[in-house]
Amino acid sequence: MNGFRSMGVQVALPDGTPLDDVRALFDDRDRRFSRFLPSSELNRVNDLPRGATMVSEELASMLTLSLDAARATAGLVTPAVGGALLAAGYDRDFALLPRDGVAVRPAAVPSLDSISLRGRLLLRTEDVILDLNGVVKGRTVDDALALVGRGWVSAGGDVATETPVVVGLPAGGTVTLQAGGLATSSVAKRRWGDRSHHLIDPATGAPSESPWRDVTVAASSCLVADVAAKAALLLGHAGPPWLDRRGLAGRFVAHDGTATVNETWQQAVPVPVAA
Amino acid sequence: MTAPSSRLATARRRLRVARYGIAALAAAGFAGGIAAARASHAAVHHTTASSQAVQSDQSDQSGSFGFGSGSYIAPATSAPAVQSGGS
Repeated sequence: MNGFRSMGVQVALPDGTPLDDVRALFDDRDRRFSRFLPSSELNRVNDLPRGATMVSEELASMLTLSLDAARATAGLVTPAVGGALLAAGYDRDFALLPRDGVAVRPAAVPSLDSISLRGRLLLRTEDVILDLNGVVKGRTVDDALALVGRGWVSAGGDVATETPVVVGLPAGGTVTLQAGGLATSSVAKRRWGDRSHHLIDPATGAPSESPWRDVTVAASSCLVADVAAKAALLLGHAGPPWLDRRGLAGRFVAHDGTATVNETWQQAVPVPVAA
Repeated sequence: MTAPSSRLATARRRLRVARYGIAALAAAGFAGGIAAARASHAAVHHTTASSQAVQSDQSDQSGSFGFGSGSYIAPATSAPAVQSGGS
């Protein structure tokens, strides 16, 4: 395989595609935005979770994107979820988490109103632990594709492409991604204990109890697909029509492994979904 | 072998050029996405065993983030090159 490991996932590109620039980009983003690297800028910002903080242009740019995505999803995919993730036990790289789990202690997710950004000046009116995983990986995949200028880039199965690429889907089945991005949000991968996983429901501060195990969305970019997939998973049974209203194709796998698709997906790929 | 800092600087420079080049295309597509989203706006109510009702409002287009529009998938005609399984 032509790739490398970064951000806790396998990054892959077509055979023969040079990797150096893409690896440098992923590693730079991971060093800056990881919650699990003590020296990351994000952790330095989170060490003082309230008040005024000057941040780098890069962090300001990614936080702006995250806040905009949060507003576009009515707060479902929010950067303010870091405290709740810590309370759920996700306080270290997933590979280091004990599988027998920690008791989940729901923690209130602060409102977006408690966060504001004026240029590089970050203002938090209450304790807010930031987590930017809702946007960093998807955005980095898109930026990596822009760097390469051809083919496709995949990070943990979230894909951006300029050329048609066939993608395998959760619980079986395949689809051709003709352009843009495709991402799957899942509660099955980063999971520990009985009910702890990394997708926090902002309404409860606890891991989501969605009826969906995996949600896959195709969109104009990997970033949009990733944000939309997370939102649709958190919305539960309201997820499919929510995506349809935005013209986004979505595929939903329940906890028993059965797969369904929304109308937008069905119109584009009018075949029965393999369970 | 090129030093990591030089490689990174080169990567950042190429990324800036690439972003510049697609910015005009993105702006046109984004404007179309805003018009389509506003035309199809509707409230969303969602209830699960654990969460309160969530209202999706007119802000599904926000700042630098937009859902866009268009169909990006088609039936597959060959074996997969990539596996999407969530992370």
